[in-house]
Amino acid sequence: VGAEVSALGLGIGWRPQLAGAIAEREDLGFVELFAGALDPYALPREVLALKRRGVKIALHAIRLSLGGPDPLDARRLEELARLADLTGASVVSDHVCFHQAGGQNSGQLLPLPFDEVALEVLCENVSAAMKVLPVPLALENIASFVRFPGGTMDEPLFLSKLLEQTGASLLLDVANLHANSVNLGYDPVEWLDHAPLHRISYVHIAGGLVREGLYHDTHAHPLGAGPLALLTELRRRAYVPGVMLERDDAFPPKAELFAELDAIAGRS
Amino acid sequence: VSRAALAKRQVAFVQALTTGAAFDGVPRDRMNALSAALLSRRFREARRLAPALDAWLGPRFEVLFRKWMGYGPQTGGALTELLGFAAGLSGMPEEVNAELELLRLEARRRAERTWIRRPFSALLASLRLMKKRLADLKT
Repeated sequence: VGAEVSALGLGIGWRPQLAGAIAEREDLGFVELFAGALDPYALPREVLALKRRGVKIALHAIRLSLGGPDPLDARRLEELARLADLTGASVVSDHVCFHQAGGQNSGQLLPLPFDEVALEVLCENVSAAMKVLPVPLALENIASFVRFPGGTMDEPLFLSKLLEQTGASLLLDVANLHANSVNLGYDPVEWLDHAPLHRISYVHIAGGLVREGLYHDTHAHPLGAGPLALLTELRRRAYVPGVMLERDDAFPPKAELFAELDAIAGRS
Repeated sequence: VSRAALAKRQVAFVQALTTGAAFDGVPRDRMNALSAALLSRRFREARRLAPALDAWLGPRFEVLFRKWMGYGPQTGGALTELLGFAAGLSGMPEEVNAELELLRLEARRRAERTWIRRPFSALLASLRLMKKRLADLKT
């Protein structure tokens, strides 16, 4: 069984463009660093200042392809473990997905078939990764325009089995859940009712927009009512140890950013 | 057996996605949307890495980059892809050349970080080779 992640509180994805605003926000419990953009030998001084203030670090990865059939990239995994050590991260996360198969990289987080075969492979990879990582591993539900055909169970059951068999925790992205509920046509509240919410280590939330009939989880638009409503529904059902805003582009003025942080902290 | 079975399905999915082909059980319009999102993401990552190149090429950047991607799978990461694309350009102003040189240094630095973590036996082999080359130079 994996180690537990201690409560993180209110957080935000640290980006250089937001460094000034983030430094002014005194109620942050954690920032999430994107592993792919980090130089372990030269962490940004703003991040070091946050660490000195006691702000915790979560390390987010996208390249492990945990649900893929190829063997895990040992070098990449070791690099992630080393980054976790050097940043003093409380938790490392990646996604319930694959992006590479047969050596071909799609460049995109792709959905898994929710069946026993994919579950077995994913559990093997997750367990192997957890042996190398020095801190707990959290696994995030992805957004996708499609279902991988041939599934034999729904996503909440697939996640429940995954977390039970590996001891990993859940990084629940309510914006991804909102996106999938719109694009794939299901009830996200019912999804919450069946998901392993007791295994949540923290929560992602972000803005997006509807374009040509599909909801795009862009991380570049204002936080919408849909993801926020799901966060409220989640809080009615479970303890949320941490929640953070993801903003990756079209960075807003500080006042707008802070208003979104207030909203996800439940203070507006 | 599980990995082989999964690999067959996932390889077919990635191939369909990166070549714009159909995939059984997935609506064609959704597959197209996913392909388009994939190409947009790769371009956005390239543009974010190279603002001077973006400013120089303007709207031509996306047109040329999409042509270069040619609906094929990404090789390496975003930085490798951008440098591969930029290798085919010419007549760049000084600031773009400087930006690309910095990016090439970054790519080299990442590769060197990898070299540092090679197995100890490989490091010893490299040191022996360097010693031999130094000895050859002296003679």
